[in-house]
Amino acid sequence: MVVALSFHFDLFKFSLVQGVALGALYGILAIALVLTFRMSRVVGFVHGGIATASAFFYWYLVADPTLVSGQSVGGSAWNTHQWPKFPAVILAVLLGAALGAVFGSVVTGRMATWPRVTVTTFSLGAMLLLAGIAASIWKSAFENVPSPFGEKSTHLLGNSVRYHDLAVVVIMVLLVVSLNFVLTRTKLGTQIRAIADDIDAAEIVGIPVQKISIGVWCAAGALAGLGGVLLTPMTRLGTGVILFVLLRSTAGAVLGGFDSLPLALGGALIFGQVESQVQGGTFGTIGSGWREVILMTILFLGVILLARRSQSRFQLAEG
Amino acid sequence: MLQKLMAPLGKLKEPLAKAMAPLGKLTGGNPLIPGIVAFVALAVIVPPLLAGYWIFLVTAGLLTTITAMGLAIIVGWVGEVNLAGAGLLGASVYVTGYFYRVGDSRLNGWPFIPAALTGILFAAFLSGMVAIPTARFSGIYVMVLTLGLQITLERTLFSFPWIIGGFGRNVIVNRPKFLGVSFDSDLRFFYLCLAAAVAAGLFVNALRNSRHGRAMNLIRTDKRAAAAVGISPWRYKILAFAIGGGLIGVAGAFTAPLYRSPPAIVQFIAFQSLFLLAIPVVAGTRTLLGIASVALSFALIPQALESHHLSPFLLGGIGLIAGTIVGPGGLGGNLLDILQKQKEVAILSAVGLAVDVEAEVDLTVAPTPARVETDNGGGPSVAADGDEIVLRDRPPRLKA
Repeated sequence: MVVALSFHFDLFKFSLVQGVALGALYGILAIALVLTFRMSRVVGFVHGGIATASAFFYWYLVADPTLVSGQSVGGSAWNTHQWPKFPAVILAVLLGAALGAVFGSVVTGRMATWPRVTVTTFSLGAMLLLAGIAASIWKSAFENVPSPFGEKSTHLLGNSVRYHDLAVVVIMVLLVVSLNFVLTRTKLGTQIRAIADDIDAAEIVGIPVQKISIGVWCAAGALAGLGGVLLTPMTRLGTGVILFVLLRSTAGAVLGGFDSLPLALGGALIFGQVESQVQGGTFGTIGSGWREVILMTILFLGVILLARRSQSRFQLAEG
Repeated sequence: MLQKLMAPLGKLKEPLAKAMAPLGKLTGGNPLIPGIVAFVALAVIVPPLLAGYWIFLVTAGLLTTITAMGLAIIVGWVGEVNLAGAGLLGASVYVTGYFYRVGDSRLNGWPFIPAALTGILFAAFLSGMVAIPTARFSGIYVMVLTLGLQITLERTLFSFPWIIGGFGRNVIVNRPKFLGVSFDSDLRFFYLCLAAAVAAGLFVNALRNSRHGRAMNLIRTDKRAAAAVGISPWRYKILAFAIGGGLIGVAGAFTAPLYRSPPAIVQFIAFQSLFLLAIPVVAGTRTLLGIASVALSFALIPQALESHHLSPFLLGGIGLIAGTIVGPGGLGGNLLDILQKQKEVAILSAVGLAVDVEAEVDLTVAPTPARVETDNGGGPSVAADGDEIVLRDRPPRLKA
């Protein structure tokens, strides 16, 4: 591990923009995690599997078959289709929504009264199953994925920034605004908040708890699918990458106590910034190992400082 | 929908119970006997029948069994989900290998035992450390932080070539030697790992029956009750994590020389942690033999899946899902229930009570108490008003 601390303002500016994009990406998955946690008191690790499935599906639809490195493995799964990108994004998001709805119907149905840690373990199993299906179809895939927004760049704060990164930030802002509107200004939002606050009381006053919960899982699945599609052009397509990003998003959600969307987004943006600044060399040469230690320390401190605040909620969830 | 999915599993219980009936009769329902039979089969019968490669795989399966026992303490006894199983295993593998190996390495040539102890203690320390800030919080935080530990290990420890000894270096990790006896051959190393697995099993069994083991189980069942009788959930959770981590470390220490060279990092990534977690979830934690059977299956089945181009993660995912559906007892717990019922039947038969075996092996909850017919000295059976067996999902008990 290498550490040589200093401060480079030019790198700071560049990493700032990169970090916002990265944080926005973590934020999209963090929103999905918080939404479903508030509905079902379950950490939706399954979103990692959904993101994986959607990302692979999107890549399968849009990738240029001549550029697919796994072609040598053989099989029709590697014969990608080069479809137009936006219909493929919509299909991948719909796949995520469908998977989210299926999982939601399970956890809000028979599993509604099961211990939450058990259901969370079930969620881990679902993630592993989806990742296993993807890894079985596309063994050892580690592919480049074309961005839905092209490969071009523009200049911002004197630095070159990909359209893809800007689009991720814009999408997250739009998501936050629209979710905030739905949650605070609509009848559906009131019902969702009522379920999140007291599921029994919501049921007594006639709110269709299960239908709304499944709807929220469906929407969260769509977000996870979108997150998977937006993630892989920034990294590469592989099962391991998505779990790594899911941890960042979960950490963001933890910093928000799994309760507050703004705090979860804040947490995700902090993680994105720290990661980007450290990786970009703003503070000098810091090895990737130290970067992970720094992020892990933030996560631990966040848990120790913030988790106490939400402890009663979690205890309620596990009861 | 889930109910429909689970219906076939429920229907499986009855034929499973019937299929187990002869085994129950044969063993008198004593769960130790299948354990001894399995041990003898593994030690004596299996090695001559298997080719070298399969011996190697069964050895890997035995080490997976030790790992699963460590996870079972954490998952089954204190009810926490540890997502760093593979990371802890890898940490022990590489730390043991770092001190033990010979070749292009900074520190090398330690005897195996001190090197292995270092690896074991390192894994126990990491596992205990991650438990300290989280033991007071909910299981959900434990999951997140253990996943964090896993990813951190992947990005730190596993990325240092001088520790892992990989990346094309000429590094040899010899099989150990004790008291002049070399365990270099696959068969001898298999016996060494079998001894380690049996020792680990005896340790876990003794711990489970000890005051500390009971305290850990009470914490999972009812934290408040535990605290009321003076058991600190915090301390015992940390202890469970440290002991579980230590056992995983033992598996790691023996895995280090398994391949005779440093194993690939891909064996210790986060998804592998979920795969390992599936073992105690599927097997339950009531029977060590159940854990060993599932662990061996999980070590061997991926080899069969490989030829069909199926990822082992599929098995792990199905295992985790099935394990949560079957319930906290797992498959092992259900089988143990059946064996226990057979034992009760054997006892009842021995004291002269004729029991309807069909009814005895039925695991479904009976709405009303069933009456037992007593054998009337070889004459026609008559119902004895005073003798009743209440059928529950627990072993039946005689009512006075």
